[in-house]
Amino acid sequence: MKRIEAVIQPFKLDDVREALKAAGVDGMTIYDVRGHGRQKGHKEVYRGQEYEVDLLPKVKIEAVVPDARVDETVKTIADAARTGKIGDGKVFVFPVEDALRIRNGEVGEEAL
Amino acid sequence: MAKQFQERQEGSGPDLASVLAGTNGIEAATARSGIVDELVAELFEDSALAGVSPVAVLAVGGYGRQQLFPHSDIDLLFLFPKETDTEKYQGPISEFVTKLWDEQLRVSQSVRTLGECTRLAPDNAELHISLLDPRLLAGNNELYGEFSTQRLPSFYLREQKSLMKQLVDLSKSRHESHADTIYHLEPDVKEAPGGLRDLQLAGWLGQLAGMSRERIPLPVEGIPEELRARTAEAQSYLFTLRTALHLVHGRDNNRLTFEAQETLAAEELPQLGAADGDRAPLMRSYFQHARAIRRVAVRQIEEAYAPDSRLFSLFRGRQARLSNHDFSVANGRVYFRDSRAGQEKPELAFEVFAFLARHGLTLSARAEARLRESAETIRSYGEANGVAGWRVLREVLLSKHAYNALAAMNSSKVLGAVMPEWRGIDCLVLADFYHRYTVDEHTLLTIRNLSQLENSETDDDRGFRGMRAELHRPELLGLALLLHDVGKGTPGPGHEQRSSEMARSALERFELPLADREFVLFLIENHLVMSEFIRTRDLSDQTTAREMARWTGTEQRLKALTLLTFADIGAVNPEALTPWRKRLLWRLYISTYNALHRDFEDERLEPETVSAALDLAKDAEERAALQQFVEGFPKRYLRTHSAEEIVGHYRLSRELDERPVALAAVHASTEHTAALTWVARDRPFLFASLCAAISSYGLSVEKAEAFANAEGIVLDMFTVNDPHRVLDSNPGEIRRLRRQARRILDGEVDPRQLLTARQERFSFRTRRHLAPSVSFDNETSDRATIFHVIAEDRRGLLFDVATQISEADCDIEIVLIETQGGKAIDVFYVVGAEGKLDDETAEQLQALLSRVCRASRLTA
Repeated sequence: MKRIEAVIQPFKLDDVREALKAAGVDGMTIYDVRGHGRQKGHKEVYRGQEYEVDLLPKVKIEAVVPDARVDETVKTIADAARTGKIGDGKVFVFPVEDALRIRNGEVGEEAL
Repeated sequence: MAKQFQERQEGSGPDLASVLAGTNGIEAATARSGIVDELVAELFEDSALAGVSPVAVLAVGGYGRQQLFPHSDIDLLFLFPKETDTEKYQGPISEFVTKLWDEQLRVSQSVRTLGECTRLAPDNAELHISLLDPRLLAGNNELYGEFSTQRLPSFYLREQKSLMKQLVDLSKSRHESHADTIYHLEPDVKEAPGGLRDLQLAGWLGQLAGMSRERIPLPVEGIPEELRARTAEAQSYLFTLRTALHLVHGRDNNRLTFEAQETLAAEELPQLGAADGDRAPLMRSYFQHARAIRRVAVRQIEEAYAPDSRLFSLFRGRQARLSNHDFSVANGRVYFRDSRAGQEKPELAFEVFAFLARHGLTLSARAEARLRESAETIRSYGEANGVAGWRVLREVLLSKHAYNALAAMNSSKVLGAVMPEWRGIDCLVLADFYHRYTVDEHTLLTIRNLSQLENSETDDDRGFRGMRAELHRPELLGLALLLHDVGKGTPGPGHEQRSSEMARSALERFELPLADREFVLFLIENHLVMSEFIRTRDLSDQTTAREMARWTGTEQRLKALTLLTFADIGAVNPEALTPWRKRLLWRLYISTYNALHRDFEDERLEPETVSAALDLAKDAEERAALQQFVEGFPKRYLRTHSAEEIVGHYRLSRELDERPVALAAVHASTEHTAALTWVARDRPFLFASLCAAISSYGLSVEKAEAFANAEGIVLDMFTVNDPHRVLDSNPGEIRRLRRQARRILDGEVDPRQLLTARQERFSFRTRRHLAPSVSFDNETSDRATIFHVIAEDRRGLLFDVATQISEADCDIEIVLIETQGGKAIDVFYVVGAEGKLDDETAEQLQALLSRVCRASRLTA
């Protein structure tokens, strides 16, 4: 099992969620986050004054999927989140040792 | 034993079926207490505690009050005279409690000595409050007698004030955790404001207040006699409802969830107002009773603070002096003086809310009862007198106590009389995953959010904070907020359009000018657009900003829509408007603001505005002249002014046939400012001269805009501070001001001398020092160099800057001036003889402007 963590543009959330759903990934956790990668932030000018914005609003999606579905899921996220511009985000993949469904005690991939 | 107990419970205890049969919740709770009492007594007699131990087993808390709901905890106190006993009998107590658990009772027990119960535990007010209702179940009668008639009364006599304060503080934090409102979509009928806990709070405060002078043996009645009748019905309702909820949920869950609402609505439960599968009557009935309890709790809290506070008495005394011919004020509450108010004088039912809003007062229970009695008359009056309703509503919306006054209007049904469109959303519950409040309360919370924003000190709110003060007609934003969801009261998709259609009739009844109606309708129809944009659009993409700029069209609309969105999201639930979401909204706002301002270069006319203005022409000749007048004005001018204003400007320009400069003054709605519109033919030093005339007259500029048309006619629009309404109340002053400007323009007087004299007459306190910032931008505009000036404001600053630009042989094409606090934020679009300035010339002018901004006095 792998935990897939994607940091994407907020306006792409609906697209990514729909794409994941279509790909059969129903369970996910979504966070409102702020941060930057290479995009670094930017300057905003309002009424002649410059504001440095170093942390930009982003959305983080987490999903745990069986090993066999990792590549497909990562591709699905990347395709749906891509605009081709700086700031599109990143996808990270982490190993997961085990999982337990609290309700009925199922473990491993059964619990996903 | 277990079998017997279950049988006894089933025999008289309620299940949903017996609730259906009309069982009263109070009776059911008392009956269940009785059953448990017997069981506890029986088990006690069989236990090792009986006969030998000095213990008294007491029912406390809700059980002490004989209020046991089907799945309530059983609060027991094992009372001992001294500490050594508590240790000695620990084993038998455990055995006894286990037997109660075996009977499927959830027992919350505590073991304490007399001393522990009557020693103030500063962080455990709940313990002392739970002991206000003790009841002996089994054990040592003498010990209980000493406890309830001597030790506890002495303790409460001694600690009464401290406990009351703790109790009120606890209640405040409980209310805050429920957003301080009764109107939740899924209310907790025990803990939410207006729930059973508030009823208990009212009782406890009354009990403690009664113990201020003498020891009174417990238990005592807490709710004062005069309030008991008012709470009796509500108490009975909430008891029945909570009993039903325990049965529906099958556990101690007091939340009236959507599922529970559906279950109860599906049954015929006349005592709960539930019938026909429609949950709306059930919920309306709940809120009506919760309101009654909330009122009593609030009154008891106020009473708890009232005695012995000299400061409070002084404050109340000052409030009493607010009494006038129509209303009297006592203890912060407003009463009708005229016995005909309501029935014979329905207009007073409206006026009283303007009075509340003006002074931050609350409506007395007696006045509210009068309004309820006269509801029909007030309703008819409201429907026939839209203008009177709007006058009051406007005053309320502009006051800082708007939320409280509107909430009082809502609960007394007067809001529905002023706006019949409102009635459909009164206590309306719509099942929605995100929304937490009823539609009416959500709407009122948007108004509270706006008021709270003005006092917010968080960084995330910084940008939004002053925005409301920049609206020309802030009351229109308030009105749009009040009407933005009224469409939810009628079925069908797309409530924005339905709200807009319903609002149209309200605006017509209020007889608002057409431009104001359009403004309000625009906000209502588009109240979800910015939320949609921040969720689905790339905010770093300029096309997003341009699209939003096209959508909003004017700075006023953009600001109002931004604030509406801010207030609307914040009223969905307490967690909805996160700093993250505010950040997105702010990005969308400033990128749109900048996009609107970049449109200066776009000379294309706004066909809709122009054609609307042309339609207002009185004849073909004026129509042609008007067409000529608007030629060449930048798009921004046409976007930021209504068709009526444009026609007004044109008619003002006709005065140029007789005089070199024309002037009109109108008082703005903020009541401390006036709008001055000057029309003149372009000439060197024009803007500087007008600034000098205004400053020499003692007026300070808050905002300014200047535009020129193709014929060289210049419109200079200033918003000036005029707190005493000198210009408004003295028409002669307009002539004097115009004459002063003409004399300056004709060189008859030296503006420098005028301003210097003015400075000598008035000394100014030095404000916090603000380092000036002057920058120029040669990128954004194809035609002009844009100078951004930010400096500490002072009298004559604008004149200095404008003179410097003119003396550098430059023309000012467009001016945008804002003054915020002591800070002047000015933008000048400047051109030289050959158009845009080269970088070297711009740098020289930048240095000159920096110099005048650094000076503390007139320099030009």
